[in-house]
Amino acid sequence: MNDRISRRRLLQALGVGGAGIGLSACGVYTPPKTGGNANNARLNSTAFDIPTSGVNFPKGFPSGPTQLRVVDSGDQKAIFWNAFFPELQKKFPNVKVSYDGTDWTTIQQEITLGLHNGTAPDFFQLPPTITIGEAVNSGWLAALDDFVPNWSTIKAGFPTGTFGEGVTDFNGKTYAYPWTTNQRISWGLLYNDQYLKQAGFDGTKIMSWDQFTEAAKKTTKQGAGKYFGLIMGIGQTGQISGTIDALAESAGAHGGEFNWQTGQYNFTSDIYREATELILGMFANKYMFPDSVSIGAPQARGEFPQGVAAMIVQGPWNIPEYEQTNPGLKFGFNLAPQKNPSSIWPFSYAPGGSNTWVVSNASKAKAVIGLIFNYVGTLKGQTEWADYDGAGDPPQYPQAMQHAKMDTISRGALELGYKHTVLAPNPELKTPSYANYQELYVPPQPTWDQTLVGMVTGQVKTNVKDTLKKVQDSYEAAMEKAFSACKAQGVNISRDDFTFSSWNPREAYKYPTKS
Amino acid sequence: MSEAVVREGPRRRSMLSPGQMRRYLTYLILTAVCFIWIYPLLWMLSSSFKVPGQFFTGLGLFPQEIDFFNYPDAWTQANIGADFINTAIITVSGVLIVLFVSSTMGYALGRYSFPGKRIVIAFLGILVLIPQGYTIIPIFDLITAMHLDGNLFGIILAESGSAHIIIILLFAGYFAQIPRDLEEAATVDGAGFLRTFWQVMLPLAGPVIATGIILQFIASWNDFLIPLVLTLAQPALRTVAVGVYFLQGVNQTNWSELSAASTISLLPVVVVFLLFQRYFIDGMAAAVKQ
Amino acid sequence: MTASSGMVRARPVKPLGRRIWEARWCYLFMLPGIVLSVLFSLWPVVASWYYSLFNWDGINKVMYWAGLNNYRELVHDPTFWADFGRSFLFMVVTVPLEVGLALLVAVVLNDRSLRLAPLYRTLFFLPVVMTTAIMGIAMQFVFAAYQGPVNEALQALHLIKAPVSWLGQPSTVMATAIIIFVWKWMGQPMIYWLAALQTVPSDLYEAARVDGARGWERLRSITVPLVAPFGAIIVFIIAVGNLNVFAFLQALTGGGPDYASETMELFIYRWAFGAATGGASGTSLRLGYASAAAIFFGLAVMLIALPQIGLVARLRQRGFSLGRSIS
Repeated sequence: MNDRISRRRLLQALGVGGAGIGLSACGVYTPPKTGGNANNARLNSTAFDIPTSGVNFPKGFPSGPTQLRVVDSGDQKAIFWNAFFPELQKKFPNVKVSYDGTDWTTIQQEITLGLHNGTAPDFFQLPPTITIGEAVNSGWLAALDDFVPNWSTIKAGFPTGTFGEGVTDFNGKTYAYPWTTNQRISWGLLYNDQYLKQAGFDGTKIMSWDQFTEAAKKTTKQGAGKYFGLIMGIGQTGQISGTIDALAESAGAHGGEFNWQTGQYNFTSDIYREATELILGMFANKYMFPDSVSIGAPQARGEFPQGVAAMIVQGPWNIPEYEQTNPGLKFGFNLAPQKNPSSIWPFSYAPGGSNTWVVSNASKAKAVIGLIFNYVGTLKGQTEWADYDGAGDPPQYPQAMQHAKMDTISRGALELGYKHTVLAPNPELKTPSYANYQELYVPPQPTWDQTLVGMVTGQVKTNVKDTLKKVQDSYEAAMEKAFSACKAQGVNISRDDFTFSSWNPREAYKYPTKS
Repeated sequence: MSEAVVREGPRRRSMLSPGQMRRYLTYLILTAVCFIWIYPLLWMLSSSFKVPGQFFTGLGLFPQEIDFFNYPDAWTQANIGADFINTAIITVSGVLIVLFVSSTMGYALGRYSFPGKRIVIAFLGILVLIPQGYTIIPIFDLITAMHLDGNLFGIILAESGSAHIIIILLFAGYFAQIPRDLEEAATVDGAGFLRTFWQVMLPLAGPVIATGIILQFIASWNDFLIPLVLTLAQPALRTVAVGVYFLQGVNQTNWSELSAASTISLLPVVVVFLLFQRYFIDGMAAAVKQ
Repeated sequence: MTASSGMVRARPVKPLGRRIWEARWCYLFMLPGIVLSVLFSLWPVVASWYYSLFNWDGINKVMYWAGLNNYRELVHDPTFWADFGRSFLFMVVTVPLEVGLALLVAVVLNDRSLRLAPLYRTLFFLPVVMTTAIMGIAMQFVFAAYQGPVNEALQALHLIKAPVSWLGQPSTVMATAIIIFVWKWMGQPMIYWLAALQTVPSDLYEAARVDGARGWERLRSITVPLVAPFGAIIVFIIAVGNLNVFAFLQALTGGGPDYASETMELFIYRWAFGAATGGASGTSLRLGYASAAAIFFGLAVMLIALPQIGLVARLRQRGFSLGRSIS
């Protein structure tokens, strides 16, 4: 037959190629015929070294049949789990794992209803509408200290900023486990090498905003309707706002949307206006793939390697996928274009991690979870996580990344992540009332993202400056409203708790150590 | 459409009679229209054979490279196989329950008058107007309170529970026009209400039963919101429609496999329709005839 | 067990209690259906009335009493009114298109000399059973601005100069969604019409043919008057169905761009379960608010539909015997 199939057959015969699923697979695991996953098949042949000795097994480690249900937001994480869980089941035949890597809308529904109803999965990620504090207060979560073997040692091994009272810890116990770091570039520039070269641009050099527009213009012209300068998937919430936030923050809008230095939103800053105008210009001048408004991120990132656009602003999780499924594509990954490439401000990231897993208090599989949580917190476990999840969801241990088997583009993306990110301050640490605030906070309508889509589609008629003023005012008003709602309930919180005037945005925020 | 064809007929000199000519032209037009009509489905079919990297290669029906693995992958790894069995159980049970509930209710409403009949009809009429979807939380709580949340029966009941007014009306209409002598003969033979229904009336209602099977089969097989919410905590109970939905990720989706899973999910409905369509139309016609 | 024949004849003056007792089998027969409907259709609505009076996200153990605040906020929410209107617009436009096109196809396929009619019937019906999620993706391709076949065809016909992003513009998204909707669901009324057309006795056509009536005249003088009463019922069934378009629009547009294709159901769903993304772009869950919107909408549907039920009932009395009792 053809090259593609035979290659896949070969991988399967070698026992390393999966089927390219597991990107968001679901269901109860059957022992794998193949193991691993096509995505990282070239790179991974890791046999998991799940300890069966050497840890103090929790009392009553399951001898009978145990069901373990796991839900998270999938993508890269699913690649690790899809390789790990079958191994776990092989080692402990009495454990049956059911894993769902799904989208946030589903997590929202599933976890919300599950908590409401006492049928939450054993371990999972909380939807953004429920804070960890809220969940702890409601008694839904289990403290890791109680069942993860050697928890204090494991916890001490993680870099600062991983755990924090009010973020992951409450009343001295840890309830949330962020073993992947936020120190990554979530919005970078993936570019089609051939198209950029032909237009006279070098993707390996960080572009300025002007060059970005110029490159989009030239490649669009060069494509003559066959391809365009840029593709986005702004039909999905968060895509256009995320892009503009990233452009603005590295240009000097500290903290992104919300400025932790001043305790106010950044929307009225010149940088936000310019970043917004930059992206709106791409649409207005038709440098944008023409269906960018109606498609979502999965379509946009699926279209890009077909050669329909020269550039896409997306995350490094695309890299292994593109290399695997589109071997003919020559592409690269770099920082998103900069207003001033000689002075790049770092991206700030919130304490905790890029993914935070919590354990249901009602879980009957805590012993198994303890084992897994112990394992992923060791250097061995962190390295294996890195083998599968590379730059997409990097583990917290920087050492783990050095040992990980990765392709060059992913490694480059990862290094950019280390170089251009800093830990941000967070009000969760300043006041315990933050959880109440979050409950009473009602986001304004339309949201920032909706406003942007409205500007792109011409529904919002006012000019950019006035529109951003309106966005700023509505977000500020929503905050004030939540403050007074808090006050009415006797909760003490104010804008001071959101202001960290001493923070230097070029450096990691130094959290006061609490006793 | 066909009329224009008739007028053109005689102008063309051919050996075909005007009737045949008209028929062939109708076929020609129908075939062209149908091809466009089902193009998206053909595209779905062809996409299910694409290698993952080539899904977004446009609307051509012939993939450059063919990949048969999407089907076994969807069936086993994406668990569509297990979902399929769940869906079959839910759908068959749902059809049976709905047929039972609608035929008995339709029989009472169509054939008899009794105090309160108008109230029942008004009640059904109002139920049909309630927007669906938002009531999912109370339904969820109800199923939980009945301790049916851990098994398929909860889903079956919730799906069968909404008012199947069309099927009830079809039964009512059909039973209403069955001649009374039949029933009287049965009564003379000593058959009671129940036996008359079960042995005389129901066997006559074959066409409406076929209609009910198709309508409810399609509804149950494709129903989404109820099984989605009720199986959130129980992935092992998922239906195909939900399973297919779960193949979509935030940033990554295996579209080819999604197409394969969708094709698999489509097959039973098409088979049921092909098998029952003759009775389907007859049944509807019989039920609403004078 | 002679009650059955007794109750039928027992029309005139019998005490109510006796009439009820004689009809006991009827009540027993209706019991399963009524119990299921009360549990799964009526009770959830009653529960929603209750929720609509609270500030409640659907998960928290505490529900904050809100009185009529949700309703008050609702009437001042421009998105609500836009979506409210859009739901009815969607129905008002799709129903005639769908039912009319279905009638046309049904008349063509009802020709008994077309022996392949069952095949075409099946093909026209296929989109009805197509998985909605995949339909959404496929249609994004079909109507794409980038090499979409619709754009290419229209350009070839010189109807448009440049490709149009049919689903990506607020000005065209609803019209496009309506066309796709009619495509997807036309098969359903087509089957209803075919059933209706079967009830027209073929000897009537024969007689007309002998009289020399042409196809169009036959259609006008025989078919249309005879199937018209069915039309009312078909329109009613389809109209009610077309207010419930949640899965369809969710898969096709998700209500976008910029809410330009959001209908009431999507509005309700967004507030009840809405997609949260965190950060400043997130939205919060408000089941109470969603319930208030649903009730408001449900009442409006009822107010509009009730006169039509009356109409259908009147046509039924005149035309045919749906639900008629044999007394």
